Amino acid sequence: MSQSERISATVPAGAGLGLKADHYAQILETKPALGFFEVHAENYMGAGGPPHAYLEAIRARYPISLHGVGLSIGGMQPLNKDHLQRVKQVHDRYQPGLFSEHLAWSSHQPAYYNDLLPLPYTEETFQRVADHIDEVQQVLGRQMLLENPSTYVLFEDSVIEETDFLMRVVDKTGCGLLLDVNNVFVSATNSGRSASEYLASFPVEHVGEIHLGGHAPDEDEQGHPLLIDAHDREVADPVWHLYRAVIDRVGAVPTLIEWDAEVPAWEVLYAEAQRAQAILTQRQKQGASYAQVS
Amino acid sequence: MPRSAEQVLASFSGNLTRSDFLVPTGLVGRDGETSQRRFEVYRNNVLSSLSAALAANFPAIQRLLGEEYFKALAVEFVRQSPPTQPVLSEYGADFPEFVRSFPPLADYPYLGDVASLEWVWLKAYHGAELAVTAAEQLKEVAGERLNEVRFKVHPTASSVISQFPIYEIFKVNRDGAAATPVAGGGQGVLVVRPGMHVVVEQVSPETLFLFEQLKQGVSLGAAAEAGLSQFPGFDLGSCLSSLLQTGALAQVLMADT
Ligand SMILES: [Fe+2]
Repeated sequence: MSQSERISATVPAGAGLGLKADHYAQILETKPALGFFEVHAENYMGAGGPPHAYLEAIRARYPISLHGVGLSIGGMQPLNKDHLQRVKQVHDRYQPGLFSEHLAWSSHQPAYYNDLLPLPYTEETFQRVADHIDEVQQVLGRQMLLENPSTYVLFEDSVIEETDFLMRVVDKTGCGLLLDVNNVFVSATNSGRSASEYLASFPVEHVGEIHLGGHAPDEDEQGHPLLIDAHDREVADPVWHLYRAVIDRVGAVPTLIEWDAEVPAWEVLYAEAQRAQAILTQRQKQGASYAQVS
Repeated sequence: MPRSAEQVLASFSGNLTRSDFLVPTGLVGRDGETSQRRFEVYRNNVLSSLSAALAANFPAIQRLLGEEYFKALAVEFVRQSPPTQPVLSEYGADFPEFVRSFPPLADYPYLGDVASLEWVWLKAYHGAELAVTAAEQLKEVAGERLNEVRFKVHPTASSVISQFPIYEIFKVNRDGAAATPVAGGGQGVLVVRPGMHVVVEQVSPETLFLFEQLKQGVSLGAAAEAGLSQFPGFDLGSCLSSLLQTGALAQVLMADT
């Protein structure tokens, strides 16, 4: 299919879902109403094959948000140039409306760990992260969104608040932010802090996308709650509550439901997306009525 | 002297996969105390997600060994050969060899070859596209020039040869084919993805021989001669037609005249 037969790249301020191979056929058959699909760049790096054929067909009908999980932007070693080029190939081929990556690291030479690992927030790591984001934005020729992480530990070495760290990265690089509200709730709970306070100091005006996902409850050896960012279930009520407050504050933003493990039937996923969409739609109506009043 | 972030991350990563790990210093829970449970969340994520990636790439091996055994085997492999880049559909090139030489599996010598077949399948699944036109093109070639024909082999085409019945083992454990009594003896298997589906076919040693010749760019005439010298009664027609049927021979390359 030629690129001119595609729907526009722009991701609307609606709800989206992560694209799963199990759902390719059903999506193409039923063409569900949905703002966008998010795909992990690393799943589309083969030379050819069914994943590309399906993604081409889906991209023709839906805008795509491209989400990288392997660039290791929070690592202290140089970015993997070959991998960045492969991200660029996927990016240029599918022309996503949004591109995002994480404030985390996943590689430490020579190994790739396939997990989003935490970093201390210091002047040194700030410089490195900003340099990495500059490099990504230069190679891709676009703005990227940086996602706040979910964390289970704290570093004694950290001297900068995460929200300040993100704000400074935005100022230095011109990147935008991906606000993962579940990550906020998970990290706040795990560190014994308030998610609402974190959000109050989050630079929400730079948020280009929101993530919502499910977490699994556990506890540490002191008996403190330890929430695991498992993406294996419905979004929890307190996370919906925080989300609604964020949307009230900033207006409608493209919102992704992340469900990556124990992936349920399409209908269950779609219902979660509709729940987010209802909040967005309600906010857009309010926005319109505020505009009429003023 | 304060530690560099490089040192902090090096000590974090150095303890992620080893069994005799230490919780890196400076890593604490909400009370400011070192917490093994919290660090273990990361260790568990790393080992589970990488074993799951291997299970996705080698589902027949997982089915043959059972989930629990496979996980233990995969963790051993991850410790020894972690991925060196983030594309996990390309992780596990060394896994067949690891399985083959894993001492506790010495009584199951076919497992390594089944793993090789799964790896070749994965390569074909994600391999480059190429339109298959060879059979049509061949019809246009004048009879007296058939000997000169060379082929462009499909970029996803590979063969696996084994002294074990790996074709049946693969089919039963991947496609849920009904288990048939497996005759002893070796099998040659050809794998290619000419369209959306990966074709896995059991083929004769003669057919595999012809495939390897043509893959090296040998002309049809020369390949036939080589076949005859190797296999008495070598039947070029039947070997060629089974290669054409699978799509392994993608295109005809005519001699330059
Ligand atoms: Fe997220």
